[in-house]
Amino acid sequence: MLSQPLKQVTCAVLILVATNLLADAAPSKPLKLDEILQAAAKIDQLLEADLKAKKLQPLPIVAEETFVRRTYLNIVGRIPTAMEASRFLDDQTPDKRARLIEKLVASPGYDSSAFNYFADLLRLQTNEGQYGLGWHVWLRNSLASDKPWSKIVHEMLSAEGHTSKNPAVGYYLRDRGMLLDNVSNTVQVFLGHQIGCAQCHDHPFDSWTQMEYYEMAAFSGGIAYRSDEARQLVNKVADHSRKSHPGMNRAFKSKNKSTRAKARGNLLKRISGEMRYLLRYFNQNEIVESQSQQLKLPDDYQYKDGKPGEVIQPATLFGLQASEVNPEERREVFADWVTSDENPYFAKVIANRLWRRTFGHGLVDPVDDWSEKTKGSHPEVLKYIERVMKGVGYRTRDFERILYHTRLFQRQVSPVEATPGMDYDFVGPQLRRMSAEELYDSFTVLAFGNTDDKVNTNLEYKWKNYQSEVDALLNLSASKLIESGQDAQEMEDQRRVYQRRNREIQIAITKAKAAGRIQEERRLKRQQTQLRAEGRKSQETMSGMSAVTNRNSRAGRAELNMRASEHPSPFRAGTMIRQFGGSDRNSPEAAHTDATIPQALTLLNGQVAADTENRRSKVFEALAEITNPEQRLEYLFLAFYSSRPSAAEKKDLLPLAKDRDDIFTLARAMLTSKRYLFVQ
Amino acid sequence: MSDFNKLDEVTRRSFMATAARSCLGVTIAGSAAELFSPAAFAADPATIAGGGGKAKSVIYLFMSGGMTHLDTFDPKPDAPDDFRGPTETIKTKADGIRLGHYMSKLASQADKIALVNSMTSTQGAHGPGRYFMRTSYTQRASLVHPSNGAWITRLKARANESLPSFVTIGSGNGHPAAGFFEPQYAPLPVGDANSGLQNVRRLRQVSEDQFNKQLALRQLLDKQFDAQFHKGQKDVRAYNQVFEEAVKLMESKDLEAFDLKKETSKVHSAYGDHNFAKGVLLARRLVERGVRFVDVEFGGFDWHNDNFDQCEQKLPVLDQALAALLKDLEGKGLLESTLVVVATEFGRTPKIVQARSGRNHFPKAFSYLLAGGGIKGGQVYGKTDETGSNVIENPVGGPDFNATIGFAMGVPHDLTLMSPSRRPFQLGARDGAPLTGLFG
Repeated sequence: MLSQPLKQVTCAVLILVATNLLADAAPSKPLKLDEILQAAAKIDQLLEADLKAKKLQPLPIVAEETFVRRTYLNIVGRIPTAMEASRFLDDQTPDKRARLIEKLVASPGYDSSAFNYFADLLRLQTNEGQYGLGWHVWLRNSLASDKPWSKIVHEMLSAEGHTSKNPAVGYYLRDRGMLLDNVSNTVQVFLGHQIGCAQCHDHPFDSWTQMEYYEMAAFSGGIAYRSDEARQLVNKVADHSRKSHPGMNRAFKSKNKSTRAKARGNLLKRISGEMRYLLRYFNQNEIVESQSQQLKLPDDYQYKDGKPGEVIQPATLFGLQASEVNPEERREVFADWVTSDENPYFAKVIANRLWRRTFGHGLVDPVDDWSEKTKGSHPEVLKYIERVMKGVGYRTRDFERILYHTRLFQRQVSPVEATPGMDYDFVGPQLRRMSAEELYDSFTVLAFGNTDDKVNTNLEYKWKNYQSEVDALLNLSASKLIESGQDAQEMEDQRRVYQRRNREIQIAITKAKAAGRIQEERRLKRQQTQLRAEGRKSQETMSGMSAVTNRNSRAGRAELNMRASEHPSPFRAGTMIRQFGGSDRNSPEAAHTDATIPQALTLLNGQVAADTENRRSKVFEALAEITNPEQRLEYLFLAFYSSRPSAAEKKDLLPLAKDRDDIFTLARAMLTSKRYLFVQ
Repeated sequence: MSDFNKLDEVTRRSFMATAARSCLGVTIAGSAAELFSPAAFAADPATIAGGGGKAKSVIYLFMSGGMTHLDTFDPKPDAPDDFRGPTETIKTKADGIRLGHYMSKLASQADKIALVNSMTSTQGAHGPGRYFMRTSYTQRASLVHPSNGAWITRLKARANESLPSFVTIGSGNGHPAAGFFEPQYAPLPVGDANSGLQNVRRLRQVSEDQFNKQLALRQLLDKQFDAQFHKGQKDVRAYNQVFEEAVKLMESKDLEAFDLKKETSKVHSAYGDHNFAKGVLLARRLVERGVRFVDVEFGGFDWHNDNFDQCEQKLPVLDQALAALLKDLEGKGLLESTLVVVATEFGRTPKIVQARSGRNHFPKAFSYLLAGGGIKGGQVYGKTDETGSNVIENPVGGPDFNATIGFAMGVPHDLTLMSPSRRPFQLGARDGAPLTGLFG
């Protein structure tokens, strides 16, 4: 898929040694288990040889209880149900660990968990414009259908047009008007380099100059945040009006060129005005590749290699070089360069990111600050997983599948944390707190059981609906367009009146409340309720175009028993997910797992604590059903810890299992325990 | 049940011992602890003589996204149209201070404020910019530096036993918080000031007895886990810390600090209806009760598009809340002991991007505001050129500014504390110098 303008330069080509395992042509189907196991064994062999050379011992393989919990959390992003845990523990077959991994990797839970990870990496915001929803649905489906990472990235970086036709444009629309920031993030996320500083000045530590930054950004210099489709609609209406107004036609046929131009200009201006409310949000969901538009150096450019305002030709930072790029091919070439096998970083960076996702620390750490000198803690392993990434055709599910089948994945976690940014010996994976989504999804398991296959179809439905409304809009006749434009205008007027009245009532309510006039407050609140109902009703009557004329999609909410991935995201500040460090999607990988006091308060006194005694919760149901204290205790341990109580624990805790209050106290204590919150 | 209780006693005691050991800080151990106790950091006589050390608390208002300096604190009435836009310059109560016309309420409080119009930085991206201004250091992969609030928490003795010393309100995910300091210096984050602190009361169905039993059980269940991980894993220690603090908070008599309903509607309407205004009001309630550092974040200042529409919508919110705060603090006799700061990560390009009436990122020159806490009002420090594009007098960097906060609070900005990797760090980095001239 490499297009012409990219040419190879010396030492940029990585020689791929084809092995039996990893054939030249990237496979389009999942690898066979024995191929996967071979690759996993190779990784272990390399790691263990390294440990031996350093005279270090790898940590022991974990017990079954730890394995089952860790495997569910890492692969499907939630704890197992009590039933799933006991079924695994009671299974006597020798290959049960491998079988569990295989089952989970192919399950919908994996798609849910992977989506959370990639949405955080890409800063996806579902409720931004209409493009946010489209991008969300597109990414979710791309991951679930095993679209290779290289293809996902290529589609985003080369995307253009309206979101309804190509939702991958969400990647650029997300950073509307902030192209330079978008470029910094692109290089950081996909190629692991931090060139952001060079946006304003030569990079103080790395070698990047501001000129190189601008050359890199020049590939995207043609991006224009406007809509050609909308312009065509305006033209269509303009032509129609002209034909139906003979008077106007005279000016258009004038011999005087400037009279003609003026007439046309005035007409377009008027029509644009009339269609303003119909098209304003439609407009904002498209990017156009403008061939004449080129990136220029900033006004305060201070170095000798260029002048302020000078037009910059695109050039790559490393690897293959581009020359004489046609303006209409700029981003296609850019996407080719980023995602090609020849790019010296693309495969390595994603392989290392997923390595960290699985084991808690990168072979190269941090994962997004590479340079030419970067070798990583285990150069051989790094080289190998880069080959594996290319060998599996960038299909991240198969890549991670290999990591899950390593012995390393089965080892005990290190008792001492690795220092971020420093080399780690990988004697075992890293201990970590559950991510916010994992915590949320695990609460879902406790309350509702396994709901991995519950998909929020509202999102897809809303998106399809938007797409068909856009289709309808594009096919409207000129006279219908005029009508819809008027409808939209009317809607807008109504909305303003509604907002003003609502505000007035709100102020009156506040005043009445402050003055203690309860009767008046009640009366006003009734008025407000009625007003809101009317408002909703009038919105609904504007049938046909409501999604197009709305600013945001207000994507359909998920049901209570659905997993975090099924909700529009990011979650609002103040929600449980955000409280536990869920991403705000403002910068790549913004999620964190830092402890805070409000988290402790939530676990002690919040809804999740109350829910253990909610009659509809699975935990409650089970405890109500099981009368035998020993079985009750066992159930709790399986539900929270995926293990059965030890003899000592039984001795300490059995008395509690006999008492109704005590057993719920124990359940709440488990909820707050680190043994529950952390993934060993 | 007696067996259980006995077991619990033992666990609790041994657990407390471990927790105490771990809480002594990063480089301090054993008897050296007293040397570095906050009491040992009492303000230096020279600081007092210079007008520093008067502040007991800091309210740090962070305009996230990069606040335009040209339309707020450093307007340029004589600059060409394509720099100035529709922003007008207004006179204020203080002779030397001019403001953008969106800040009319603040204008009447200008005798209390000092502007620093010569802020300058090299960090032109949001995350790194915020990080730098809050920590005095550029972002590194290998460690997170403590934020200014964590330094103050560390260096200034706690004034309220049950409320944490450091609170953030509405802050985004990138806040450096306690950085490499131990978890006890981490802030209490409040997401939404209006809803305050949630879940501070026991569940209705849980008796005090059951609650205490639950706490003890938690330790019992984690006994083995702690033995394995408490020592080597900071995240594990952090969870021991936050549960301890949470229980303390639940018992606090000062919990009502978080309840904004305790304020009259007159006070509410003085600050304004916006969420940010509620955050500012909450900050005032917290410093009244001895909280040392409250960081209130106001998001959405990244105006690449429609800069002037945004000014119209957003700046009056800041203007109203800030002016109300200064007046309120003065009325309560707290202005002298409370340092109020308006901070941001960078300024905006003086020349307007015509196509979208926007301003882009501009770290080369921007403005901060200070008030209270010993600051002499009505003055402007530093200067930019006639278009606000270059600092031409008294440049001030992030480290200088954080050193100034330290000076106001009477804590040493140049005291070195070691990271776990044994590298030396200071509140004002290596070269930060406080702007002592601002104090009077």
